Amino acid sequence: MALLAVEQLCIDYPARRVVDGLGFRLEAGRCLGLVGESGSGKSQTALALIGLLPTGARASGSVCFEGRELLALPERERARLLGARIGMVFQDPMTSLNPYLRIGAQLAEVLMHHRGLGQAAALAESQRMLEAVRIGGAARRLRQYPHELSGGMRQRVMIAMMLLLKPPLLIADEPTTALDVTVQASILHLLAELRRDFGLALLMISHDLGVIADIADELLVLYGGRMMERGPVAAVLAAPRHPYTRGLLAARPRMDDPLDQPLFAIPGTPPAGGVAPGACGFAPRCASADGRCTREQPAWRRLEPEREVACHHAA
Amino acid sequence: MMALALRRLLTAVPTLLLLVTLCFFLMRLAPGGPFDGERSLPPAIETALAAEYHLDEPLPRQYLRYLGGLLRGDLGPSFQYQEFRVRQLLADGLPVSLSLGLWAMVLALLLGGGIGIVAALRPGRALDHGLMSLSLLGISVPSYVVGPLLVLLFAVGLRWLPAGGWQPGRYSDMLLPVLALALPQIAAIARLLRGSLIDTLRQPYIRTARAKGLPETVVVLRHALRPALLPVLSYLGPATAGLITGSVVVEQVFSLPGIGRYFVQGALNRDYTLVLGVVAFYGAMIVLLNFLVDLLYGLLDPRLRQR
Amino acid sequence: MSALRRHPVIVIAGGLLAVLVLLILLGPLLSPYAVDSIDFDADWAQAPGLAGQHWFGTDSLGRDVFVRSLEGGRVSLLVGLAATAVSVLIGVAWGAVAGYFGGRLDELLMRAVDILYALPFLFLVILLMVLFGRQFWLVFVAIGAINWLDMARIVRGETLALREREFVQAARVSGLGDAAILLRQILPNLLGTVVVCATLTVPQVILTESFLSFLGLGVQEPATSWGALVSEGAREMERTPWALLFPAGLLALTLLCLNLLGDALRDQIEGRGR
Repeated sequence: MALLAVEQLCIDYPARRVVDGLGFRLEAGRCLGLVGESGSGKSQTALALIGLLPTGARASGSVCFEGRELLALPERERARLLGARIGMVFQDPMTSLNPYLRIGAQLAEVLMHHRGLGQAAALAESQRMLEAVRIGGAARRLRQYPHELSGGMRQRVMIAMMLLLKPPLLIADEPTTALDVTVQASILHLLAELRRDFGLALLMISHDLGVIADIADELLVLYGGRMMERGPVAAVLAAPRHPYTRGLLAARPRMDDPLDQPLFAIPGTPPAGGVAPGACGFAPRCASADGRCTREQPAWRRLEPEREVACHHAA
Repeated sequence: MMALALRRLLTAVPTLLLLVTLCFFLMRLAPGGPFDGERSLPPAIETALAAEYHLDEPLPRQYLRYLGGLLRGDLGPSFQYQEFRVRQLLADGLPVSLSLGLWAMVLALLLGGGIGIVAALRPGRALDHGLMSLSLLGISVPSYVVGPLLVLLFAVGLRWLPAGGWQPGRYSDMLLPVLALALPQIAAIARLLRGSLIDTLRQPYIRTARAKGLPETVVVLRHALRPALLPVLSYLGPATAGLITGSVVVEQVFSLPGIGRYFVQGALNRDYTLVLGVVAFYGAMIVLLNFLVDLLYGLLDPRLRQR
Repeated sequence: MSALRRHPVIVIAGGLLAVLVLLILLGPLLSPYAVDSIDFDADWAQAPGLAGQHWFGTDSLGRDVFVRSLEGGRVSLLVGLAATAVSVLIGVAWGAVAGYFGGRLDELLMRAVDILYALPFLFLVILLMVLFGRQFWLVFVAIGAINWLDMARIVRGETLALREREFVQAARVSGLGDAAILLRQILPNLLGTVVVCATLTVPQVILTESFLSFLGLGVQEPATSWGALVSEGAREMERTPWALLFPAGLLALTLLCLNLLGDALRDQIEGRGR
C-alpha cells in the first residue's frame, strides 16, 4: 500500500477551479517532485493535503494517507496527524516562524502537545533535533528569537520542527526558493540526508527542475492545475514526452550554454485562473498544438511502464 | 532595554514640564484675578490675599515657586477652599477616582478583548456583524449619555441598583458608574482587537502553527494573541485619557466624591490652582501611562527589545 | 438602487444623516413653540404623544422637548462643522507643509504633534473656558484646535507619498513654485483623505462640545445643545425621562451615522470595500 495516494483531487474557489483531477502515489521513503510554474496549483495541492486551504476553497476527490481518507477526516483527527505523521515546510522561512516566540518554545510545543512531554524533556529533545539538522550552538539557538537567525538557519529550524516526531511524510513547498543559492544547496543536501537517515518520504514542490532533479526519484509536471507528465526523474529529463516539459527543460539556464545565445522561454504566459474545460490547458502556448488540442482534453495515458502523459501528440 | 526606557523618559519629562508651564502662564494671562468675585473686596484685604498667595511677586519668581512646590509634590493652596491645599483635595478624591478608573480599565480589557476575539474567529458571520454593530454604537454613545440611561433603566425603572452615592466597599455602588465609564472603551478595544487579530491570523506563522497540529485554541491564544494585542497596548494611552475624561462626567452623574467632581466645581468657581493642579495631575497620569506602555511594548516585542 | 447594493452603509447612513439634518433645520418650523417658550396651557412635564402639540412631551418647566431637541441639535451640528473646519485648516496646513518640505522642518512640526498628543487637551480647553469666560466662539476655536492632530499626521503621510509622484515631479521641473505646487497639485489630491478624516472628526467634535456643555462649561442658557439637554434631562429623569431619552437618542443616532459613514468612506478610499 502506498503511503500517500491521491486520486481525482480537485480544488475549487467560488469562481474557478485551480486544481483539476490530480492523482499520484508516493511510497514510503521515496521522493516525488511536483513541478510547475506559479499558478500551476502545486502549492494549493500541498495545502489541500494538510487541510489548510484558505476559507472559501473546497477540495474534492480522495487523499488517502496511511490508509485513512484525509479529506473526510474531522478537524481534530487531522490535527493529530499534522506535525506527528505529516510534516510541512513552507516557502518563506522569514515569515513562517512566529517572531514573538523563542525558537525553543516553538519546537518544544510540538513535543509537549503531541507526545505530552514536559518542558525540560521537550527542550532537550528539540536541541538534539537542531543538532541533527546541523545547527551550530543548538543550546543557544533555543533561547533566540527567529529574527536573530539567518534565512538558511531559520529554514533548518523549520525542518527540525517538522521532523521532531519523525513523521513518515514531509511536504516541502519551495523550501529553498527564498534562500541564497549556496544556502539552497546546503538545505537540499540536508533534506536528502534526512530522507536517508529517517526513511522519510518527501513530497517536494518546486518551480525549479534543477532542484527536483537533484533530490527526487519521480517527477510530476503540473500546468494550470492539471497533470501534464509523470515518470522517473532521469527518464523524463532525458526524454521529455510533453511539449510543456520540453519547454521547461529548454528554459533552464545551463553552465555550458554559449553566453551569446538568448535563453529560451516558453512563449505566452501561464493561465491566471485555471484552464478551460474541454481543451488541453497548454494548447494556447504549445508550438505543436492543432485543432484537436483546443477541442478535446487529452486523456492521461500510459506510454510505457512508469511513464504517463496527457498529450494528443505524445508517442 | 534600559536605553529605550531612558529615551522614553527623556521625552516624558519635557512633555510634563510643557504642560505645567502652559497651564501656569495661561492662568496668569487670563483677564482678572482669582478673587474677582461678584463683590469687590476692600483694597487692603486684596493686597493681603495677594501677598498670602505670592501674587505680588514677579511672574518668573512665581513660576519657579510653583515648580519648586511641584517637585515636593505640593500643588499650592486652593483659592476656593481656602483652608485646604490642592494636594489634600486630590488625595481626598483619589481613592474613588482610582478604583473607578481601574475597574473600568479591567472591565474594558477583559470584556472588550473577549468580544474582539470572538468576533475575529468567524469574521463576516452574523455574530461578528452583530457584535461590531453594537460596538460602533458603543463608540458613538459617550459616558455622559450611557450613565443617565443606565440610571434610568436600573435605578429609576427596575430599582435594582442605587442611582448614585459612594460608600467604600459597597460594590453595588460601583457597578453602574464603572459600566458607564467602561462601555465606550469596551467597544473601542473590541473593534481594535478584532481587526488586529484578523490580520494576525492571516500571517504565515499562524499557518505553520496549524501545520504543527496544534489545536485552534492554542493557535489563537499562544501564537496569534500576543502580536494582536500590540495595537491594543498602544491604545492604552488614549484609553486612559478617555477614562479620565469620562470619569469627570461619570462622577458628576453618579455624585461620586472623586477628583473629577473637585475639578468641575473648581472650573465652575474659577478656582485656578485647583484646576491647574488637577490638569497637572491628569497630565502626569497620562504621560506616566504612556511611558509604561512604551516599556511594555519593548517587553512584548522581542524585535524591539534588542535595539 | 445599484448604489444601494454597492455601498449599502454609505447610502443608508448618509440618507439617515440627511434626514436628521433636514429635521433639525426644518423641524422647529413645524411646531408652534420656541426653544425657551413655556406652554402655560399644557401640563408641566407632559408625556410625549402624537395627539397634542408636544410630540416629544414637555420638560419639567413646560418647554417643548421636540423643539428643544432639534434646536440643541442645530447648535451641536453647527459647533461640529465649524470646529471641524478649524481643525481641517490647521491640520491640512500643518501636515502638508511638513510632508512637502520634509527634512528638519518636518521633524520639528511632527515632534510638536507628538508632544501635543501626549497632553490632556480637553482639560486645557476647560482651563481656557475657566480663564477666559464661557464664550461661544471660544468653544469652536478651542475644540477645533485640539482635534487637528490626527488630520495633520494623516495629511503629512499622504503628502509625503504625493511628493514623489510623477505629476508633482513634472510640475517642479517645469518651474512651478512650492506654493503653487502645494495649492494646485498636492491639495486637490488630498481631498479624499481629508473628507474621510473630516467626517470622522465631526463626531469627535460633537462629543467634545456636548461633554463641555454637559458639565455646564460649554453652551450657556438660553442657548442649548445636546450635551446641555442630556445634562438637564439627567437631572429630571425621574419626572421626565423623555427629556433625557430624545436628545440622548438623537445625539447617539447622529454620532452613529457619522461614524458609520466615515468608516465606510475610509474603506472605500483604501480600496478594501467590504
